[in-house]
Amino acid sequence: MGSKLSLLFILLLTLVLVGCSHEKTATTPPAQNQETQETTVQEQFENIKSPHYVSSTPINNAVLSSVPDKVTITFNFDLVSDSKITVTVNGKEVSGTTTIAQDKLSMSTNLNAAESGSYKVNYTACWPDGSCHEGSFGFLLKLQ
Amino acid sequence: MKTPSRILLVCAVIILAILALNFTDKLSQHPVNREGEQVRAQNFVDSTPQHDETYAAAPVNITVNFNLDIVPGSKISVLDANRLEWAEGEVLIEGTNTILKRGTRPGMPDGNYMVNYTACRADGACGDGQFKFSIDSTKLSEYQDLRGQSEVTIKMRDFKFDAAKIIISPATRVTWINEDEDGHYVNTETHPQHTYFPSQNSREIKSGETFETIFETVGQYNYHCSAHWPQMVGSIIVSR
Repeated sequence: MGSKLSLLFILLLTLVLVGCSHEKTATTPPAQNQETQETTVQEQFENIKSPHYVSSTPINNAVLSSVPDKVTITFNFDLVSDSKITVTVNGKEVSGTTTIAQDKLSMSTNLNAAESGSYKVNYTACWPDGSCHEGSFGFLLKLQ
Repeated sequence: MKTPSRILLVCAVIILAILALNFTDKLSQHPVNREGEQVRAQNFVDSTPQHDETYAAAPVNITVNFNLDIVPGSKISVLDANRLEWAEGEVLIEGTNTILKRGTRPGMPDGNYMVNYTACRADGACGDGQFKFSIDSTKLSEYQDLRGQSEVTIKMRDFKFDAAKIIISPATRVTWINEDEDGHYVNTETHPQHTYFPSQNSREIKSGETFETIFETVGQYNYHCSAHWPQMVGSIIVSR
């Protein structure tokens, strides 16, 4: 009798734990599905801004019909080398080498991409003392 | 102890552990607003004054930096130990909407101050945060009194500001001259946000070059060289 009770208890506990883990996964945003499914719902990126961020091209959550020549991010303070832009789409990195403008106020990268999808831009902006700070944004490319 | 009882005991311990973990998880998501501890709202980066910083004179404003857009509805309050309010004027959102700022009322006495802020995001969510700072005017003895001059020059030499700590009168024009071979910067707090008093922000000042700005409002202005932070720092107090 005792062993039956404890078995029942373990079964209940397992059910509770499974229920809890389901609840936790249900609270995460369903962003991943949008890349694999050809859905018309656009993934909304947060525009996480590093210090001195001014603007970006494309702008955050832009919807484009052709591949942009490059991704450019503008700042209001002197960037130094080590600053970097990384662009990914459908799990692949598609950014080239990051170039810092001569006036040190912007950096850009070319894109080696030709596919529709949600493009995530992560960047690291580095300052004259060598410290670096991160930011991110994204855009949607819908090729015709 | 019989085996079923042992199993029951082990199960009870596991359940308690899970409950405890869930509880601490919830605590970390919703910071407890304990007196004197820093509470960071979501997307908070840093502030001027910084948490636990001691000023020799009043800050001219309270600046809180975030890494995501904040929107109107955000608030800043500065309370002294008697819970008197020292923040005044409009709550400002500056830069690319990541800087929350509010002026302070003139005449802040020595003592401890608690800053409480509410940062509202574009998605409608608002988060509260707090930090504290203090004012201790005995630290004024560390400053060189240059009041009564309409123009003051600070040298950047041997990777230091000379003089590093000065008191000036309102409306004084301060000029920095770089006497080193390396380039230097003059940038307002914090590093690297530079948002407290943006008029005091230079780009690179090359050897022999100068940078200048005028200080009108009474209060304390801490600054630094962005290439040689945190060794190369300075402070200006504007006082009548």
